[in-house]
Amino acid sequence: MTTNARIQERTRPPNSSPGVTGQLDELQLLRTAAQSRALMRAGMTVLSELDEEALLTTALDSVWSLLRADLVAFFLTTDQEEQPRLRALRTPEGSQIIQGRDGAPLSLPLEVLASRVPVEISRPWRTSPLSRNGDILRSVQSVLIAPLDVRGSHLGALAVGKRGSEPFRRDHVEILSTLAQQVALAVDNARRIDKARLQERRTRDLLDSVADALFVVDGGLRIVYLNQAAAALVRQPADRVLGRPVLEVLRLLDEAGSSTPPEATPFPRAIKEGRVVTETAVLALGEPGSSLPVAFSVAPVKAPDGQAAYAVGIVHDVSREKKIERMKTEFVSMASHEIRTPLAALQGFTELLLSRDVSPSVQRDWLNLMNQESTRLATLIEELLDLTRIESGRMRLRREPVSIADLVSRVVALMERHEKRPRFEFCLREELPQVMADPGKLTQVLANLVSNAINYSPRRSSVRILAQRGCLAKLGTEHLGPLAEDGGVACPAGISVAVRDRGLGVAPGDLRRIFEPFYRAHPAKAEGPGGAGLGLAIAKAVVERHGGRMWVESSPGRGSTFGFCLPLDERSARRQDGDTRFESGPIADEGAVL
Amino acid sequence: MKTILVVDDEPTIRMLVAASLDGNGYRILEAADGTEALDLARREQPDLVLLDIAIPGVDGFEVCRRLKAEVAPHMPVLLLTGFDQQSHRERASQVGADGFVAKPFSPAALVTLIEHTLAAPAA
Repeated sequence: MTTNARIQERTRPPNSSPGVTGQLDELQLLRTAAQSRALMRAGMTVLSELDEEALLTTALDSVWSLLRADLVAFFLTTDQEEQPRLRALRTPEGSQIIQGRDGAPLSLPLEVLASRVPVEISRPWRTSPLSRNGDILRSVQSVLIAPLDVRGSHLGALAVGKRGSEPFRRDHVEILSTLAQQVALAVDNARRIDKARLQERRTRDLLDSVADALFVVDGGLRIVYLNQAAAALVRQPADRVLGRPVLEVLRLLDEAGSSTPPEATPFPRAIKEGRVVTETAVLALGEPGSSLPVAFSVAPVKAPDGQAAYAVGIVHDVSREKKIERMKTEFVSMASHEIRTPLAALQGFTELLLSRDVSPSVQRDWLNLMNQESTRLATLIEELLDLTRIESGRMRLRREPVSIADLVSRVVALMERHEKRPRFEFCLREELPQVMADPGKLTQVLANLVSNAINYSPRRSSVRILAQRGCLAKLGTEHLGPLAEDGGVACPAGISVAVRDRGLGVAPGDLRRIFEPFYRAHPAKAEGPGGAGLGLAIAKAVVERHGGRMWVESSPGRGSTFGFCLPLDERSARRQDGDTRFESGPIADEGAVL
Repeated sequence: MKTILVVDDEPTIRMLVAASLDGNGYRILEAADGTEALDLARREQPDLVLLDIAIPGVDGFEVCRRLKAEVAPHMPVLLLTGFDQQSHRERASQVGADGFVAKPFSPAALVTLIEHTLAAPAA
């Protein structure tokens, strides 16, 4: 090292008791005892700090006062940085903890900081690498540096400076080395605790982010951990559940609603049988009679002796799956019921025709019935396929710009010759933009609404078709009573089309279910034409596939308004329809319209 | 002449049942829903009721239960249904039905079942 500064290694004094040399007088003995006590105290204080910054601040003070130093500095490595960097500094001006890399007011040669034995530098300002340290090092005559070593690894160095020209005494080296060891141990402990805490927090965050409920129970079946979803599942704060027996918190019911014997439930079984237990069950919730279908997956966590010390279980809410399953079963059951009725007529009349001599006129009547029933069967199967295609996402939309006015005139042309001779009124008052839709499917939807309006109204009654920007239902322009809509579907409110009749209306109880497949309101079933009750379900599914929303307002005896809203995209919103031919339609008899 | 009450909301099925029984010397009464069926049964005291389960309003199970409890405990009731499920058969016997006919059915078999039921001594 080409330097004017004198750097020399300072070995620690041999492990000799003062008595062996016989040179120490009583004063020295007292001083050594006092130093030991002070060192012990300093060590205890530093070690009791669990936070790195706090312990460094404490250590700065201890070293400062024990060695009557004029400069104390800690250089530490970090997980990210192998080279020690100034972390804490005490000068006559005070203490400071240094954050970040830049602007460190003091640096020492790396080989000094890396040394595993104490090192002393005299006149440190003369070394060229030290020259940029400015005033801090200029103020001291010598610097003593002790390594911060712990558990075999090097954490950095502790440096102490003195103004006087005297070199450091031997006992100073000893004290500094001891203090350095204590600080290194304390820093290492603090870092380990920090790491453990961070790890624990990460694990906790991770487990809390799991969407399913997660419980950990000990061998005595007490809950030792639960995540947020688990607390939400049992509808209690986590701290009220911790430590309680899992069998008390998670009560399972059998199909008849009575409690499952505890030993037959997943947690005890996983612990006792020492294997993963998966099963579905019904979980009793706080309020009597309320329960939830769930799927359990409980795994034992084995101790070194092979016994299950813990069990970790995931409880997944399967009510959605159960509901879908139930709906599917119901759908199949309803579909087969609807198929069996026309089939019964076809099969029955065929058998009668084959087994009897019937007059030609009766034959004709029966064949007419059979013809009607086979048409019904064909329509039903077509509708069933339609609905299945839509719901399984296999229906393709052929979207193109569709003019609402064209759509309405197409449907009206289809319906005008209906035997009930309906009177159509139109209210398409503004210039409507085109929508991007499948024209065929949209015609089917509107035709369904118009034909329902005609079918459930008296002969020659009026059916009004309305269309405008925004949501007609939300605007309440045709307010007839409770509004039924699917809460899960947001209203796109781009453009809405509605069909209003003055027919039977729908009872509030039926209104909620009117879009369900096979659902037919009572008067509709009794008075309307035969149908399976799939029309509205298909219409709703088609509208929703277009990103739209279907709704109905109705009042028994006064009539119904069925409508749908479709989204408008920017392109179609700019493209004005320009067709307002219905504006002057026969709406005057209503007085104020909209 | 025995009187048979046929309850079904489907006119085609009522016509099929009537046609099946035609020529066997029965008087046929028809009802399209549960309330009408109960009224007719009270008034006419039929010898047998052929009752569809999926009828609007009061359903077939309930009509059967009320017929047995309020109208005539020994009046035979045959339940007719397009739901050929075990649960429906079980409920049919719970409400005291005397027989169960699944759609589609053979007219000849239906006539046989009706004759058999009418001939059986009242329980």
